[in-house]
Amino acid sequence: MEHSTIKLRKVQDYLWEIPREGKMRVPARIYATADMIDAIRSDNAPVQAANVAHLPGIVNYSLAMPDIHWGYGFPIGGVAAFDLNNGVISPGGVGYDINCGVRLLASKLSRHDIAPKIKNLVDALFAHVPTGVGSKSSLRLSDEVVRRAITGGAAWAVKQGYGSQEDLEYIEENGCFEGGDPAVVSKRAYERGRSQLGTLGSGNHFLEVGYVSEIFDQEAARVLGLELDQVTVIIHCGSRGFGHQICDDYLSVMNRAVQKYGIELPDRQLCCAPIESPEGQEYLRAMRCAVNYAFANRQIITAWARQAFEEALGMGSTKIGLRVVYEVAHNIAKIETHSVDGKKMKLCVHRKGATRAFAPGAAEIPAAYRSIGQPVLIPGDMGRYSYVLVGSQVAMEQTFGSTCHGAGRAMSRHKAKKTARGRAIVRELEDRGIYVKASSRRTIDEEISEAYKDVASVVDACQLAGISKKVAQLKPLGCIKG
Amino acid sequence: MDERRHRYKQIEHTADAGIQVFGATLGELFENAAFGLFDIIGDLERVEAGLERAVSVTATDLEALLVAWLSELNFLFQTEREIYNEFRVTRIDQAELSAVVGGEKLDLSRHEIYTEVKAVTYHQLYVKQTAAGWEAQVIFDL
Repeated sequence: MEHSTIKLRKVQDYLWEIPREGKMRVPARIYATADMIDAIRSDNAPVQAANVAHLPGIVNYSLAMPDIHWGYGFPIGGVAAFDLNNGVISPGGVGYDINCGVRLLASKLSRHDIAPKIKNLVDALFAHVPTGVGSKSSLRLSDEVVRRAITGGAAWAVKQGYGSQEDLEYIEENGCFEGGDPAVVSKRAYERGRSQLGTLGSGNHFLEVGYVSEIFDQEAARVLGLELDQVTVIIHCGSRGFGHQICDDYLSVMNRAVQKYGIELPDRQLCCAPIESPEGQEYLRAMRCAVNYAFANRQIITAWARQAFEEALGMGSTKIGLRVVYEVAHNIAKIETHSVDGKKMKLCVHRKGATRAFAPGAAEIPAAYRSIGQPVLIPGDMGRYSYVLVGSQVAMEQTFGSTCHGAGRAMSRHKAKKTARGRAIVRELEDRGIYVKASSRRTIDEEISEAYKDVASVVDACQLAGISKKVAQLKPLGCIKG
Repeated sequence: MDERRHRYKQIEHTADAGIQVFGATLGELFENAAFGLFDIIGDLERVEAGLERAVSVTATDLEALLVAWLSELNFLFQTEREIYNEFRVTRIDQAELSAVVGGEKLDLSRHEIYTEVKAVTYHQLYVKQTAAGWEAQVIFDL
């Protein structure tokens, strides 16, 4: 389908629909404000949302969140749920960076406590946490140890001395996705994964020190233990080469499966297999290993961040008090129970650049937060702000309990570099009180604020549509990147 | 370096990067695509020749062969920590490719690395014969 032929009609405020046509099995629906929809329309992403609607067993709608943009096969910001009986699972619906996600830590410190030492702190973080391409973790893992990490996830990391048992309570799936099978992971994935556990990677991944700059919902903030000026840390990264390789491996498997099961596709990158088929089940087991790799990765990085804080600030861990507020996955497929036409149904929910946003009361939410809904962490660009939201009942009813995941790029990397040319971006940020350190200057130029959409508008669109609710805004003080 | 051997151009893509590649022969097309991949990864001017490695891949069709070839090189970059700027395809047909690649061990104190390529995608992928020879397009997930 060409994007010029895409029909987008308004269903209600903040919700647009591409009606069913051709071989689409369901309509596609996009959450966005009227201001956003023209930019979305000019991208290929709505075509991709319509393409996803062709997949067998898709339930209700092919959905897209307000940060929708062009991806591979599935759009980024895409959510699609499939019936376990006749639906499919697609590695492209999860993405290459399986369990790319965000962890938020909150400290007992105020931003005034660390302001004079921010440079030392960022330098210490940079020294402890490997960033950038070709960076090697200080960990050297045998395949046997990798096997334990990819079945145990963050829980395995805690057993190795990275962080505490309490951390696990505030991670999706408690940091360990059951059902991973190391036997269905290729030798190549092990080879890529061996030296990258405990690394941030490059591109848009980062570790940011910031503070709570605004509170929108006092009660939810109180429950999450967030208060104004409190120092926070955001960790954004995923399953590194290990997950990329698993996605790659299973795209080949699914390319063959598509022929075997006679699945007709509008785009090769959407390749998939029936969930209950051997190929589908095998991908799910491999994907869960990558999910655990990413959980372990963020847990190890957390432990190193805590060390860096102690060293740079010359304070003990109790005084700093860096605890895990929550951690979300935004590239994942999960088997969940949702209400469809008034009936409970088990579905395979794909979220690719979308975050789970369960309503208050859901059993999957840590007991301490159950009254306010699941925390949702939305990182912005390195110069502006990030958000903490909570899930809602509207999300449960309309989006299989899902919301947005970030800002999304507005400029290509090339254009960003051109925009940054002749400017000293690090200096500009420093003048605004943000100290950034990266492995390559080019990364900083490519990641300038202007290259991203304003995450505030994405978050506002989600709030207006009712699929999540704003709790707090966080502003950066310092950041390390690839 | 012979210009003719590296005919490709980068494609603008909001989130990622891609290349459109040309070649008089199929072998040349694949060589140019490999150069395009590493040109995105890092600064190839500073890569000295010396190390050589034989690479061979198989696939079910030409497009999949291109993805397999570039994925193999990216895999070697990440696991062997080697960066290449010379590519010589010695044998190629619809389903099989053999090549010798040249470059050196990655040395972060000397080599400027721009970005990590997560994967070579099938998205908007094509390999086609034209009046002038061969043309291909491939998009990388960064």
